[in-house]
Amino acid sequence: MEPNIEKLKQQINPNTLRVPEGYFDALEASIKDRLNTEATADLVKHNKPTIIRKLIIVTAIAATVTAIFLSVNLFLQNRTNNVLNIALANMSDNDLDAFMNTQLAALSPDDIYGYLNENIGQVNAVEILNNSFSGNEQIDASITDNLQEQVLDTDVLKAVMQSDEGSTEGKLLESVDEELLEEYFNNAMLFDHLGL
Amino acid sequence: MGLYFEGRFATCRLMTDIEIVQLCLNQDTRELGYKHLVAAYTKKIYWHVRRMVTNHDDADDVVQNCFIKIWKGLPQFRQESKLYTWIYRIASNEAITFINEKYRRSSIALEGGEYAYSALLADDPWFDGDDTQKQLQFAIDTLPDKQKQVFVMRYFDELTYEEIAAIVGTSVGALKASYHHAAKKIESFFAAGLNRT
Repeated sequence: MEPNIEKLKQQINPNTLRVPEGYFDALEASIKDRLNTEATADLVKHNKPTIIRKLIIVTAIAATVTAIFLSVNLFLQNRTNNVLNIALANMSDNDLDAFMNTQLAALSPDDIYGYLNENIGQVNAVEILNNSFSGNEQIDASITDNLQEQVLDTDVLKAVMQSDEGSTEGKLLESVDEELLEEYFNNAMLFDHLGL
Repeated sequence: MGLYFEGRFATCRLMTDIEIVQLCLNQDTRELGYKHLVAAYTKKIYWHVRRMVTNHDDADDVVQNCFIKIWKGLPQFRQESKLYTWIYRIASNEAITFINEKYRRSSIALEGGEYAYSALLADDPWFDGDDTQKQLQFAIDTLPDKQKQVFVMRYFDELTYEEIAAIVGTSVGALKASYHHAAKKIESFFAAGLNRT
């Protein structure tokens, strides 16, 4: 006859399974200690990045710094030329001609020479300067104007008319202001040196 | 329920599960509530787990794991079930998980059958049972996990089918059938044992 399981329960010693003395009091303390240990471990785990996380962070920082550096470098490289280039490219031909005439006309030959010598380098700045002028009329025009005024002076002319015709030229030259004449000949020498 | 001492005259009163839950759900009083929860349920949970895993040291590990999970799960406890239902569910699942992992690593309890298991219990300093009790414990261990869970809660913890249904999430009818099958297996085991003697 099979034993009834409920009757079996009545036969079983209820103290079959034992526990150490004071176990349940110690159990509560053990649970509390384990909670504190796990909380500390979780805190350390979250605060301390793993090696992979460190590598990712370092790589990200390096990539960001490199990108910023390259961007700034590229921006500054094009900036100095871009502003003027863009302004000139957007000008119409008429405006550009007027701009060139105004700006260049305001420059003295020394300014132009200095700019060419500094920025163009090996190119013969003198040659360019010389080719910029159509002839020597522009330079000595002001000087001859002064001479003409002196030559046309009536006193000087009368003196020349009354003198010997053979020495007209010599007397004419003697009547001209010496300082002005010296300046004229100096400039003539200059053009001679320049090959004009 | 757990014992709660309050006031300068240290009057003792039993704290209900509702009061414990209210303390636990409030972040400021969670530690106090958890302390009362542990005091109220430590023994119940221990014996429930002990019946399932048999060995005292194993039960100690499982119970500690269980209460750690309870602490971590308290913020998410939505009171959709009673407190003891929630706690029992955690304890049962922890015990089943432990048993499966233990028997996956070691087949001592299975190899050699009943006599090897009986020898194992004989070496256990915290087991004082006679041969009948050893056989009963071995028979329970041969049950499938769910049947073992239902059998222990009904046979040893003496929970109602409604309470067990709330814990395991199975219908009362299915539980009655499960318990009936488990009881029959154990009775047959003893019958076979009697025939061996």
